Amino acid sequence: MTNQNDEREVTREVRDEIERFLFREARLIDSEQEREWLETMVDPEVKYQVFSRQLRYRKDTRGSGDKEVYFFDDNYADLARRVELRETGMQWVADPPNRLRRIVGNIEGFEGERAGEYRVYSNCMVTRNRMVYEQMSYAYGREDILRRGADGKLKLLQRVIDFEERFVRGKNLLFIL
Amino acid sequence: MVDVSKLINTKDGIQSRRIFHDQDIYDLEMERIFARCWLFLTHESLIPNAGDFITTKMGQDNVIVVRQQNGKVRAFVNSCTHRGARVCAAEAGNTRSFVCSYHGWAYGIDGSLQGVPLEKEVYNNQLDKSTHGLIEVALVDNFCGFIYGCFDSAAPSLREFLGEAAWYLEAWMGVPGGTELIGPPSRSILYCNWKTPGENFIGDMYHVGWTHASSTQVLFSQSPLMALQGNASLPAPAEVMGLHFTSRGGHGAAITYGGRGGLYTTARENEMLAAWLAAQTPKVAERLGEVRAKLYNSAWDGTIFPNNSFLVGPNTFKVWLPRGPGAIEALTWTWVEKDMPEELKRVIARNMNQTFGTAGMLESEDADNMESMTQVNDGVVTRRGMLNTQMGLGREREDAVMPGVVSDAMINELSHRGFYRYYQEMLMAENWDELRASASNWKKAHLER
Repeated sequence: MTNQNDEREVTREVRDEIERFLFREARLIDSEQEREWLETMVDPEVKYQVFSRQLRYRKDTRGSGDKEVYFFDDNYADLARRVELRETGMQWVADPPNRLRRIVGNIEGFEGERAGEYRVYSNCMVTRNRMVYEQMSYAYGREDILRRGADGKLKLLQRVIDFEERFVRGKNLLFIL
Repeated sequence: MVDVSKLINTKDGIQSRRIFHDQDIYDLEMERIFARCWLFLTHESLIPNAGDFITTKMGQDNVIVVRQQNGKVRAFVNSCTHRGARVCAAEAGNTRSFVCSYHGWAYGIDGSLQGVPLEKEVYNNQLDKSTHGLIEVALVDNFCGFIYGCFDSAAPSLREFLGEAAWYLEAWMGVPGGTELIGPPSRSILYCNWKTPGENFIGDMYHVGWTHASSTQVLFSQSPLMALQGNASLPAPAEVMGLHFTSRGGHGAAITYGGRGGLYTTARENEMLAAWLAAQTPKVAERLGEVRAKLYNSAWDGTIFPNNSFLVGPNTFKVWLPRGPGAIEALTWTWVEKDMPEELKRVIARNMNQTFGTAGMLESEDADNMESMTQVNDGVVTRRGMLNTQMGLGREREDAVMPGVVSDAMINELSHRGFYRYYQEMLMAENWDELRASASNWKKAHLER
């Protein structure tokens, strides 16, 4: 994560707006209202990426090959397909329902590169309960860009998550992070 | 002692549920399968230069795979010969040496012990460094660039181990221009026995329409596989749609004719792949013949015995690393053809990760089945029973062109039966000589009724 100390912090009003956005987003996703999330909070030009970094020695700059694998590299249509999957009523992995609960914290907001855009950092702790016996938890940081839409409301334009858990003990990441 | 002869009945297509549960069976599997078979390590494309290495596991043994100065690839057990700590903590990279983090013993990339801190002062120069090199993996070889290792020096060559399956594998691994893996892999845990994903990938086309009812509908609307959705009917007899094969070494696959294309999420992506396949098919036919050119254009799900699975179409490449009878680590790569345009490679990798990666929509659907079919056997009554792989029984045959034993229907369990036939043989045989002695009769178990 880059050092943002010399960036311009947003005003208190915008900061409140950003915080309300992230909290509403968390509530919609955790309560299976992904369709509402997608249609009211996601910019049609969204880029949504979650990647995992191969563990290499600090000094090693000569190793070959890609250093990352992308779990998500989604655009709006890709996210829409993920939402649609559960709506088919035949996604057995989500029936009985999974229960998600997340805490969003360490929120920071800065003016973005373009007017009406904000660069937002947040940390997430997510617990997923499913199928009587399963409980999994995930912790990660998010780097988002929020953009003000034509309706004056903030939308998610970009989300990048450098997922820290290299060996995913929560089995899979089949949820909106 | 486990009575392996009662665990599997190939002729009737049944297996004991204990193979997914018992610790003593698992221990025998580690000794007789994982310490004796060729196991996938990495791909030539991921360690192209001298000093390039990756770390992985063979069974539960940690190994380092490293390219030598002379270009050859060797593999070593990742454990210091002094007090046993590992000598490499990274997953991959480039190095001149492996240094133990405990006391600083340093090994060359050829595995030799080269440096011992304070050697003169604390060992009085009496430590024989020449006998303290890293334990070497006996055999390392590659098939079409896919690198495998084997701990047993008495094992057959990799080519011989793949046997009849090599002919089939060449139809996607050995095409003109070659194949490569896009690294690094994703890594995640599944609480299932290591055989459950292997048997799913080896040829279970029956589950596609049901387990993946939602994802086939949403993701595969442009694919022939869409016809399977809901397991309600087939558009053509299963014979017309494809076939199954099994081989001496338990490797097998289900092949759906013409199914390689149409699996990506946009028409443009599917057209890109179709254009590539159309241009390549004549070259594949020239090198490998018309039959394999047809296989090249097909969708496959297959497993290379014991724990290496792949899909042609979604282009996933998997290793299932055992972590005891009830857990595995799943390693997942994307495979592409080397000469494909960069943009097409990215399209394939993106689609692979969306379907069979850690956030993959199909992967998670499979995982629930693999876990439950493992975990239910904790019940003492439940695990008394036998499980059934009788689909297509009695319809196996030999073919004039295609090696091994084949069956004309891609919805079938022939390759499952072949997997467990060889699994049983490996567990029963004391050594590779016994396995060689029985090699000539292997087809009888499938063909004689």
